[in-house]
Amino acid sequence: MTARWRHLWRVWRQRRRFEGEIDAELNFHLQARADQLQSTGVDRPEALRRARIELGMVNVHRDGIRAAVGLQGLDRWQSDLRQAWRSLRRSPVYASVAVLVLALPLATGLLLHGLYAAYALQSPALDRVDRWVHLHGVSAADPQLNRFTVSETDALLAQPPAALEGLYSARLLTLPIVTDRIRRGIGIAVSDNYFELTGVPALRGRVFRSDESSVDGVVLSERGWQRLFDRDENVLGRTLSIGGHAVQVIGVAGRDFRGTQEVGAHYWLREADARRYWPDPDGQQRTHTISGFVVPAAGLESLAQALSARLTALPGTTLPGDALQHVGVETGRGYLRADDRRELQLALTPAAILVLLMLLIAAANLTNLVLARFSARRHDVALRCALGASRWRSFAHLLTECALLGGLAALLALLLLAGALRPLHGWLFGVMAEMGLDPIEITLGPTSVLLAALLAMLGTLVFGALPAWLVTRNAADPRGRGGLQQGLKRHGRQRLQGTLMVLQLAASVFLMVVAAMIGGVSRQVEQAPLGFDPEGLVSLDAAAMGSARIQALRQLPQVTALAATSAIPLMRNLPLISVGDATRSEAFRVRWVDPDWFELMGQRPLAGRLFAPSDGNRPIAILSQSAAQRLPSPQTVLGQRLQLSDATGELDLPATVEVMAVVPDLASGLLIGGHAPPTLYLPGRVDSPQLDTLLLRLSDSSPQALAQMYQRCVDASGGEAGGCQPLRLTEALRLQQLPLRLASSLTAALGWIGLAISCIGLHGLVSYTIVQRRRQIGIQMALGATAGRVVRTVLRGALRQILVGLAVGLPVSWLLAALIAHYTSIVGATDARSLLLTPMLLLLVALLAAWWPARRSADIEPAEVLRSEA
Amino acid sequence: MGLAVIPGTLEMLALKAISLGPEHGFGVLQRIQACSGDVLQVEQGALYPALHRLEAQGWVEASWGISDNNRRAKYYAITAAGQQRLSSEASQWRGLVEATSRVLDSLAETGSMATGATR
Repeated sequence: MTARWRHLWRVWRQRRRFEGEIDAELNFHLQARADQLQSTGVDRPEALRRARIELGMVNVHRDGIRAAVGLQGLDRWQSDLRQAWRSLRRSPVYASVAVLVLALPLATGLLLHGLYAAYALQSPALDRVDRWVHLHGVSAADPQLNRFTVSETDALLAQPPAALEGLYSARLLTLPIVTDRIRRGIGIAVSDNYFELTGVPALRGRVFRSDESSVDGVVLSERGWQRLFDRDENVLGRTLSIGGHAVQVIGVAGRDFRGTQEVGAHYWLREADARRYWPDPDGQQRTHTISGFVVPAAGLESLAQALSARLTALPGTTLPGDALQHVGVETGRGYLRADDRRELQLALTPAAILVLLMLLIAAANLTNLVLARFSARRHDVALRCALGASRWRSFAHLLTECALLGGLAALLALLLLAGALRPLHGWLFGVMAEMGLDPIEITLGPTSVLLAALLAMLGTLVFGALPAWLVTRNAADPRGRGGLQQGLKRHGRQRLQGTLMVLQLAASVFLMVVAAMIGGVSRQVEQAPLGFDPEGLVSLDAAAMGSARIQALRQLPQVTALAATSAIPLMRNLPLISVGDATRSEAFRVRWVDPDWFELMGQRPLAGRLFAPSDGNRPIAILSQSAAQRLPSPQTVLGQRLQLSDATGELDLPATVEVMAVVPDLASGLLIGGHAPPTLYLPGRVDSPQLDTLLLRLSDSSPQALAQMYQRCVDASGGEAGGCQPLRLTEALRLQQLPLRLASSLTAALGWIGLAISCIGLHGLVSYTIVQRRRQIGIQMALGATAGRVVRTVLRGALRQILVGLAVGLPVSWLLAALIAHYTSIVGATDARSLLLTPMLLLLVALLAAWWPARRSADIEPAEVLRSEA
Repeated sequence: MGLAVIPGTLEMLALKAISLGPEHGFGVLQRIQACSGDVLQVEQGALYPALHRLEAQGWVEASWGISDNNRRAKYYAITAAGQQRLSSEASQWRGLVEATSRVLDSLAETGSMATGATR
């Protein structure tokens, strides 16, 4: 079978040559036979005449040969394709609309697939990637521990079992890199054998080798080389200050290798050096991932057992309460681990559903368009059938036009995406790139082309097969009276078109409402009043700060204010406590602050006085405005004694506190759950355990100024970098807004595309209805109906479909909004604007789309119509 | 007057003719007719589609050469796959002929026995 297809491909590619060879072969036959006859005494012309008669009709033999190699079917298909192309060129508006309608959801689907494929399917550039494996631990509490402690890692890496070629460990380092300014850099601390096992060679200098553990330094990735040294050719030997330690560059890794993690690495450091520079005193943090390569045909189950046996022989290496029971081995695929891949799938599912919905709208729309077009070509189809074309031939002929549309749509989708991929990627992950994280590039590969072709063909079958089947059903029946027109009527053409229209309108309503809902949430989060100016605010880890460091930071000229608190604002939700008296209690968030906090945040008391250093640990509290308003008597809240309790029992709370002041509300935690939760402030000192965050307001928060601050922090503790890594609050805010902005933009784009597709469909359907009812409208007008009345009649039909679409789509959307509001704390999910104004907008736009062709019905000349139909 | 080739056997006959040595289409025709003692008459137009079918299946391979009468001709040569196909088709054909002959012979015997019994 393969040989046959190969031969057909060869013949098709060299078609002209093949045809020439057929002629030459048949001509040789003729001449050879003539020679034979001539040798018996027949003269040449007579011999040739007889040879021609014996050979028969050469054209028939040519066709026979073409059919024998399979060219005839191909020729027929090519001819259909040429006709379809000519036919589409004659209807450019129809062709452009149909291609665009299908291309838009295809492009969105491809983008989504590209995103998934980049992280979950595309594996790093490794040798023997088919034998790449990851280890995971299993504990009673967690069946998928992807990281191991130092001692577990050392035990598992020592002397690999026979089924393994080797194991390597990798640990993410997010320490600041200081050159002339501070940068966020992603580093990976790896075991000595990392590059040997992954097979990644050095592009410049050297990479780590397990037999050269004395070599001190970092290996850069090509991205790191570009980002940190602007691809300086003399990079070898230059130093990098990573986490307060000066480390020399010993090489650049080749193959554009970015590591085996989902976050692109800028540099690799030997694990032993990392431990030396930043020792982990208790070694109980699970930070190391372990991967490796198995030998061919190794059994993963027995390997897991052999590795698990090592853990039991390690007393004291497991964490209390989370003891590692055994080790599992999973095949490496993509940049994500199995559970992360599942999470990504879960996260992309809603988007995939929306894209499918859009495809459904497009398919329903195209079915309507195609049905209208094929109906208009009924005479053509009937003529073909009358001339002897089988039903299957006519069906294939019509379907070829749809397949051509599908192919063009796939091409357009790929072109759209190829042009928009880089800007889209930059826009989607701009904030991440600014923060030093290099996302994986989404590329269009052969898989994308294949997927586009498959989706386009699927779409073609969905929107093309039904109309082609309906149109050819009766046209091909020689006994059919009235042909296609009756056939279509019999099969409820109008009902089918109406149902398809309602279906796509309902789906559009749903898409638009979801888009408006997410847009509303995103808007609320973006416009949420923070209650403070995040510009110039930088947070550090207060738990690692000593008084010497704080003193050193205070002395920096760019530090205008400094305070400590219990959580980074905009990054973590504050703990909930119960506040009230014996009869009534309210749930408030609690924040410990030192006396400088309110000044740092620019907050003045609305009533009462703020904490003072002399207050020490007195049982006093300050309430936010929204918290005070929740109390029974908000006006007389000052001096009230409130009872505090914590359901978890983990917080060190005073039993009662006296309210000293009320301050304006302040945004805190995750803005999606409500930007200014009622908050109770308790006094603390910078050295108390609850106050783990140091907040600084800087007059200059440029990377250069941050580098200076970082260096001062590191120097103040004798080179210890822990806790000195600054985080700008503006970045924290952008990180919170990013996913919502993405989701909002994506769904808004899908919603508008869906609406546009539906409106195009409605426009087409109304136009088609007018053409079909031309005679009826002509009679109505001849009997005295005014133009306005005719337009109203046409519009009434369209309005009915729009209203039914809304009636189907709206309850589903409202139900979804109610479910989201019920099961999550997302604010704005049931925003009235989203749920009511959006359908109104859709109604208006859809009516406009229907009115445009409907007004043309008034231009019908009754006399002309009656004459032509007679 | 010769007999027409049994439908479906032309490809096998052509394959057998080619297995005797590379040959052009006209030569294949001559070989079949000569080997059958001029009993089988091959329809000339049907031969070429059969040869191209064999080539498409990979059972013969074609190349252009010069014929005895100094003309450019397309020569067909059997491939290893073609040899295998020929032996399997030939054995099937022989089995079929044998079985058919046995049936015909037994019918002839039964017929003569029945005639004897009537007498």
